[in-house]
Amino acid sequence: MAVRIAVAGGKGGTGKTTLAVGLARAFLSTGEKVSLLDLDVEEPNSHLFLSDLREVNRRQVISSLPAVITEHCVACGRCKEFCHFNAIVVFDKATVLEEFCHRCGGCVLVCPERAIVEKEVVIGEVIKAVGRGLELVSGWLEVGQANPGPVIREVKAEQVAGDWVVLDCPPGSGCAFVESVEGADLLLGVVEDTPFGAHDFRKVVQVARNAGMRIFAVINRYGMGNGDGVKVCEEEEIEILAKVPFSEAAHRALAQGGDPYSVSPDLKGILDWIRDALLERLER
Amino acid sequence: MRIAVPVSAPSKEALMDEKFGRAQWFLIYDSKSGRYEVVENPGFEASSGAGSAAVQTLRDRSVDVLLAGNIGPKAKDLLAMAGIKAYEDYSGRGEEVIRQFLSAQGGQ
Amino acid sequence: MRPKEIVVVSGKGGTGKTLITALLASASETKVICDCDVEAANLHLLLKPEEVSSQRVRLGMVARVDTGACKGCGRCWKTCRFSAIEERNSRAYVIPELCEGCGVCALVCPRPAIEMVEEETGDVLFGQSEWGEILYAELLPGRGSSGRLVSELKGRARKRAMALGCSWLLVDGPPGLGCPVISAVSGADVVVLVVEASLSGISDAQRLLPLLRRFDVDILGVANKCGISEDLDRQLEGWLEEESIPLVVKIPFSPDIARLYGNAIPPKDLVDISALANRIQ
Repeated sequence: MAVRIAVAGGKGGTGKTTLAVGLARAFLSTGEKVSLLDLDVEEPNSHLFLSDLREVNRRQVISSLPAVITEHCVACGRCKEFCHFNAIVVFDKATVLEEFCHRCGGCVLVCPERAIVEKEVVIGEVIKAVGRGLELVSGWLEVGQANPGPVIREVKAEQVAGDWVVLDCPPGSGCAFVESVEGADLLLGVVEDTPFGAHDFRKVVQVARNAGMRIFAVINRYGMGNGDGVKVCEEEEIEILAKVPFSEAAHRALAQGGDPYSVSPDLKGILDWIRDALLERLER
Repeated sequence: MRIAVPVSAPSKEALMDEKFGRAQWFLIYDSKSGRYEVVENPGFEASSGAGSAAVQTLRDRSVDVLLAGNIGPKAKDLLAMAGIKAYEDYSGRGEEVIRQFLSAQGGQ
Repeated sequence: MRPKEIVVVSGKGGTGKTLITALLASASETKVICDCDVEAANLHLLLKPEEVSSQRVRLGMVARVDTGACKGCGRCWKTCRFSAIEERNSRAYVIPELCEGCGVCALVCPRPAIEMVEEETGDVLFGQSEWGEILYAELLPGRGSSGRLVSELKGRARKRAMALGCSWLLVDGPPGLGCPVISAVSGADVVVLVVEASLSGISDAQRLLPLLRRFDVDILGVANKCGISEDLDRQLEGWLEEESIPLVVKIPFSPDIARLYGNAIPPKDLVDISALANRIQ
């Protein structure tokens, strides 16, 4: 049974992708089969650290968008009244405002003239790439589409071969994050040691707790903040697996897309340590 | 013909507001009666859907022509749907803008 | 005159949006500052407003089943597109985290045994700080409707700025390019695009730009954390030039800035964004 590890933090830019890719490589180095899912479908970044992987599959994510058949529309306004998202305007005829539409299908059902039909729209893509024993599945939301949910679901639905599945989650604590983290066995929080990192991580913890997930934390850029990150883990009784100190040299290399597992022996050591800590706590 | 200009204050001397969907008022000139009226734009306060609220108002007031600075692509679509002709690149005081348009049309 | 609305976005998270918004606040005499990153609100931790008042808002709906009236016919769970209603013990059962509040289940229920009720979305808060009046929001963790919370927050901030006669409404935008960003940028006069001088930062900003172009806004560029790699700096500048976006401020990467900021101390003396403030004027 594959173990799914969600890597998240709430705050943006804490080092989630770096840790997710680095951890995947750390598991790989012990001969494990690993899959990495990039669920930050609005702004995927994992592929930037894995440019040597080759694409093996690409598929579109299709959704249905309502469209009004103007010849049949009598502008009765029932669709506009029903829509909970203000996605329909009625001037001479009804028109659907794509950016607000949640694709619930309600307008199609309420129209007395059957003047609304659904047309297929591409809302994103799922790309699978492999190499060096690692499988990367990344989701790409079509720019302009408002809702990442369906694309996140499609990435998670992809059949993957790994015994370890690392989920690189998006920032935030709303429905995109919830959708990403759903079904994970454990949450590995990447927490910035600042008031901002702490504040945002608290929200992530709440969601993970509601889902009954085990939670561990890694404090990133340790030494660059006021200690609030460590404090929140202590308050929430979350075990800190590692405190990663800031290293300008590593930061430079990572900013240019360097492989987290090989930019510095210190970082490699930390990633191995985290991997071993997880293996131990999961009794594997 | 009824001509609308988004303005920043409820008077024909007020400056045109660059952002038509968010303007607080619309100045409307009726060429038949020669009279001006000012109507509030619900899009000004709206949390979302400002563009459609603004266009709906213009439609409800039987506006035929909208004169504005810049009109975004979404707003342009809504205006077209509502059957309102929109012209861009205007600027200045409400009354001036309307006069400019009318003289370009050959006067009425 | 209506206040000028300035929204700071970047695509990538952690690039310096909050810092830049705060610094712009000190550059204007009259402004209201609004933090639209409702899922991870950070601005108030930096600007430390006092006497904060908060209001719970309900912006979405959730389906509620009257299990007494429900006969388990299944029309609702067969129609729901979000798998948010399922069969449990021969009755319909709503999974609130997945429910989008669309109302279709209530529509198709023959009894009726389903009603749509208001769902708590989060809190809108405001307070005074030495930097000006701040409005922000905290989305209840896991809730949907973050885009609507952003719109509600901006609407209130606009009204407030208008009432105070402010010249600027400054908005700290959320990361990403989905619903919350679309709501944050909607209605903006100026967008400040903060590009982090890293591979991810540039990549994310490049993805975001086409979305920004759909709005009727002026875009000004700020490069942050420069100096890590000459190559990346050149790539960044080259891209902005290609896109005809003026690069108004370049902020160097500096552990000193990061350390001060990490202690919630605005590094006012280390960062100069006067060029940006002047450009906006």
